Amino acid sequence: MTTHRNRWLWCATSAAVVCFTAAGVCDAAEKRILWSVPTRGSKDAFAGLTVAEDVLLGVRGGALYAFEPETGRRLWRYPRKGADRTIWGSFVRCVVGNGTIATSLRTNITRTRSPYEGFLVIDLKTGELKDTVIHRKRFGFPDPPFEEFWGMRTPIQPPLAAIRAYDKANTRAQIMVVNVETWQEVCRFILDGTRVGTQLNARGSFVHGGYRRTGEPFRRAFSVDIENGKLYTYPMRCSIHTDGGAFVLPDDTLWLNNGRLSPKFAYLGQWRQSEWPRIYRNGVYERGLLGFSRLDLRDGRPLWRIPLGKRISVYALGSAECGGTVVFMENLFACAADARTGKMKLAVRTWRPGEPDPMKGKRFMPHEVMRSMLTATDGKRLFFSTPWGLHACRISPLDGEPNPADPADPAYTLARCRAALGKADYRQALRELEGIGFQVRVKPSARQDAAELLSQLSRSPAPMQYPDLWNGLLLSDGWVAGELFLPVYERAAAKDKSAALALVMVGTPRALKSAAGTGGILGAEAHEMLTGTEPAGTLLAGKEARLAAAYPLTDEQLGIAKSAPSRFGGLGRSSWYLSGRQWLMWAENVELRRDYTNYPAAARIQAEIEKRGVGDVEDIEIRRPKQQQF
Amino acid sequence: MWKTSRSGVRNNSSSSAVLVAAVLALAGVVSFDGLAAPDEDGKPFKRLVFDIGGELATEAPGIAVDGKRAAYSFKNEIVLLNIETGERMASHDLLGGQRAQGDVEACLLALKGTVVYARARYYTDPDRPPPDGGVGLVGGIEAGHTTVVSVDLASPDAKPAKLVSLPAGAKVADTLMGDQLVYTRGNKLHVHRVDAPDTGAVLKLNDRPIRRPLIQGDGALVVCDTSLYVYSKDGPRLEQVVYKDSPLAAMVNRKTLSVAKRGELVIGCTGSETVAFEPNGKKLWSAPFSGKIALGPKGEICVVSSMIHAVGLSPENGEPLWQQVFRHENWSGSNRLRGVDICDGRLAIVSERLICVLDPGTGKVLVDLPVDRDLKRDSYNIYQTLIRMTGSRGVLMVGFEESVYGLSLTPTAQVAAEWQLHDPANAESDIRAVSSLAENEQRKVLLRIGRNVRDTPGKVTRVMRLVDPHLRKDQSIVNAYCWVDDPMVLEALHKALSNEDVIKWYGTYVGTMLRCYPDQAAAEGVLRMILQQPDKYPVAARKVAAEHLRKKMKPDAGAEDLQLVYGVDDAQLAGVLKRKLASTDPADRKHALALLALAPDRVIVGLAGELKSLKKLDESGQARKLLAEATARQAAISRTGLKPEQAGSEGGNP
Repeated sequence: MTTHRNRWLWCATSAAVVCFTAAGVCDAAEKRILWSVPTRGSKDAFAGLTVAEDVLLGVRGGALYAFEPETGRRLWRYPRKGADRTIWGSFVRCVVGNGTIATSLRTNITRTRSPYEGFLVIDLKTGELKDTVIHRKRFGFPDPPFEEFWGMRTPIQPPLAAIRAYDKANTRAQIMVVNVETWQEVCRFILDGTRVGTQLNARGSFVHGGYRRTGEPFRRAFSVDIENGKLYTYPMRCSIHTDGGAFVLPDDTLWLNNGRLSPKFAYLGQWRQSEWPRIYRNGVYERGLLGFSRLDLRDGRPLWRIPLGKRISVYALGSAECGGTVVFMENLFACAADARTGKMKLAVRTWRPGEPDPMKGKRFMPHEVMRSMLTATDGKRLFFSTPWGLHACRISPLDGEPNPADPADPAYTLARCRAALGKADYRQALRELEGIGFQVRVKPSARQDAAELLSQLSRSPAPMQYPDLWNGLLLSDGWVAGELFLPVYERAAAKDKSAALALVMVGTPRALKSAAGTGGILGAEAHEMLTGTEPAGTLLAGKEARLAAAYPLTDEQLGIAKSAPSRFGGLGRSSWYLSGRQWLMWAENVELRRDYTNYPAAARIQAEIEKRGVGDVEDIEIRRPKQQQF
Repeated sequence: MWKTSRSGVRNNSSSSAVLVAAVLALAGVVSFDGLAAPDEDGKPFKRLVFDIGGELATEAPGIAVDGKRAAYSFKNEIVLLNIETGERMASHDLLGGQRAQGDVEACLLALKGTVVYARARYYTDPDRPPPDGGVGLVGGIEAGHTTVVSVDLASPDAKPAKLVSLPAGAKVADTLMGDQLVYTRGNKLHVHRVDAPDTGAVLKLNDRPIRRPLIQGDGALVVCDTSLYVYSKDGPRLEQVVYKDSPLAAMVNRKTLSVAKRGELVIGCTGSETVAFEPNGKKLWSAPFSGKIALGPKGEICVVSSMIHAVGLSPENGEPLWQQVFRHENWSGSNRLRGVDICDGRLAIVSERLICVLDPGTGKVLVDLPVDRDLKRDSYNIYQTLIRMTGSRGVLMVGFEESVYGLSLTPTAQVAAEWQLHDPANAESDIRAVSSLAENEQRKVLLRIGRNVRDTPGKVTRVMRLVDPHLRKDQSIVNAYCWVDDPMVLEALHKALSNEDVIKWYGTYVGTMLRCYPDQAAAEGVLRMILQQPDKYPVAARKVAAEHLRKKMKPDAGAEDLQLVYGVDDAQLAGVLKRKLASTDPADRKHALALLALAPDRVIVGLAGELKSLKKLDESGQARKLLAEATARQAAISRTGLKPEQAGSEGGNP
């Protein structure tokens, strides 16, 4: 215990306003924070947290660490000594069976050849190296030989892993399917195209991924049936979201960013708008515009949704699911919720804006912090990594009396805010209250107190002295005070449609009516919430169709599209809801400007494909190794 | 190479050429090269005393002065000249004929009489020629062979005397500390007489120096990764200021850190503020200004930010004593700061578009000269010295890129009246020119009007009115004229603050301009109005206003009252308020009503009986209003879309 306490104190003193700095929080009766391992900034932070067979794994400084989840005791480190940067990244790691894990290996990081790219197979219990699988040595050169570069983004879904090699010009790629239990090659095939950059998923007899075919201005999702040599491709929507890759669902269908496809790309229809969906165990989760949702595998309908405020960045979704609990990072908080019902179990503050990076010396921007934040869970504990350390947090109910010593309790936040107000430190008071909405979701009984304090705060000098902080607080957490700030929201939404999110968060009929009146996507959502549930058929047919009917592309939107200086600046999120017809209209407008040459063509093809509803099929050669070759 | 015009307009554009011609025609004098005119004594007054071209090197040309003598170096050539006239007196080869492999990077450490002390860095190994001819940094290390030599420039045949020879990686201070040479090598600080390398001290540093030592008076500063070393010649003693776990933590790894030492006070600029601390690390004060620090001859602390906002700070508490901001061509115009130094007792600022000289004690603008130079080097490398400035005998000597030039520090107003029109730093000619120019050309001149007109306010105000501040594109009038005490500037400021786009991108500028408006009371009036109308002004504008006024906003209640009002003991608060409301003393009742305005709604509503019983008309009216508002707020709070049983979940279960 002493050790942990010392560690904790180090953490608290090294960053003046580090999370949970209140004295004694660590040792409070609740013991919310079980243990912490301090780190020294974003470059030193733990990456890729994973819980595997009662061991918490994390990569830090090129080494793999294993911790005991209960106590934080370090079980082992690979390599045992030195800061050997043999392990790269956090994206290639998996329990592959027999109590071993595989992690990526790269010994040459230059952009010349990287001949020693491969996997390390490590014993999960002892950290001993069981095997070293160098792609080139174990599986041989790509066939036919070309100047190859091995790709690192190779997740493993036992028993298969898909490894890619590509040539120097990056115009074709060879994909090798490997059995990670025997470390034998299953087959290999070549794709003529560039940027086979998305994660490759090998599952069953299919290998899924994304690439850009030579001569085409857009990316395609592909699916290769390695048994019969069929290559199924589907032109992906030509929006900025096509880089996200494809994910394989447990029922062997392929999830794209904004749609769901069968293995053979028979088009099933558009799902709701979504961004960076994540799949854990049997659940598909997404951080959508309105909150964090679990989606129904059958039709993409949300099973539940935790309403959340404005998202900082996509990195906010460092999520994991285990033991009926899903954890995710959102804005300032690491959160845990019941995977079945969506009931929030815990929201613990992870950092405070303005906190300096001890390595860089400069203050963090939110997106920088979010980028290095990760969560993991073993069902009982929430693990989260920040630039300042790796922390373990107990997941337990927050029922009962307010506990100002528990950092997960809203009473803790309110007490700190009151203390700052008592000292006339209004900046600190506003900072403390940021995210109170999250905590109230966990413990709704604290809403009244939080609302009263917000009301008090609105009459203090704080809003006048720090209008920016106050405005941010109002828009993200002001919903806690019910309709108290409704006029403010209505005025804000009249100027900026995104402010309608605050109205949606308030959630009363009057607020929803106001939000619906603002138009746009949030207006459509509010309209839906106000008028009742949507028929399932409409969802399957594509929400865009309904939106197109109810909210046709306005002159304003077209005006924006016309003046779009780049592919990112035009319709933005609205593009999710465009029908094929609207895509064409937009494409024509963009074509007039000729400022992004590939875009109109891509949009037109997309519209055509959507109309047809199916992708393309062709035959490719699958080469299988001779037994004696390897 | 050197281009400047009376109007400060670029000479390389056709429209500007017309403009310049018009200005010169009006001025009725001088050729373009003639930044010279006879003064009262018949001697020509030269703003630009000399301008000598050379070859672009890795660092700025070396310069040094001693009385009326000055020396400069371009690579391995050292030249002695008269700083008052620019007359060349002697020249010498720094290496004494020795051939270097590639370029020679020279820095003049000091000039004493006719003897110059110089540091030369060059490659000697013929097998390792420099990759690009220059002597740059290799892996962050000053590569090559470093030699400190002394040369008597008065003796043409004298060979340079090699004093010290240092290996690669040594970081030698750009000037001597008296007669001592200061440099770091690895984690050691070396201080010894320049001509006696075996004497002196070698001091171990517990941190990694990231820049060359900085000589400040009788001491030196060594900026390291996570600390700052202060070396004092007296003693001598070396003190380490560790940033970590102290209020100075923001200075960790602050490679652009500007530091200075004023007696026992060390001053450092972090990214957002200037911090003063003692060598033991104790923070004394901080001020919300950042930039490059220069210390005046009387210890004045001047900080100049990259947007050419100069501020003089009080050494006692860091309060700003004066502020000046210098114009930009437009809101986003590039006018990057190149160098700041105290030269000949004056604060000299060199940027891309202007050279200005200020009195460091009062901030008074002495010279404001628009310049237009084609910069050869666009990057900014904090590890190398890209500009060198010094001054003597009323001449500012600058070594920058491909030239060494001397500029008269004579304040514009002190130039003989009849020759002021010939002074390129005087805006008088610009003002005269304006009325004869076409409207679109007028604006260009108007936005460049300098500050050196004899009776500035009246004339500038007149010409300023030629610009229409209501046009959005002309909002840069705020930038150009914020130093003029005229309601029109405030009007333009007001206009700028109402514009969300302008504030979004240039809010910081506008805030700085406001700080420099002469009538601060009037400027604050505008800001208060903005804060009081939150619905009318964008958040960003209110933020700018609040930043400016925050320190002047005192809390409405005392510390005890705040503890009471924001505490959790409602009963205690209600008891105090009840007692005060029932008091016969009107002051008590007034105080109670003031506290009630800050109190929780439930407490206000709980005191309904007491509030309704107030007899005095104005008090009862205020009480009723408070009660009604609190009741309305409670009602609004009770209307919520969140149901306790929902606990964050929406939609049905699977």
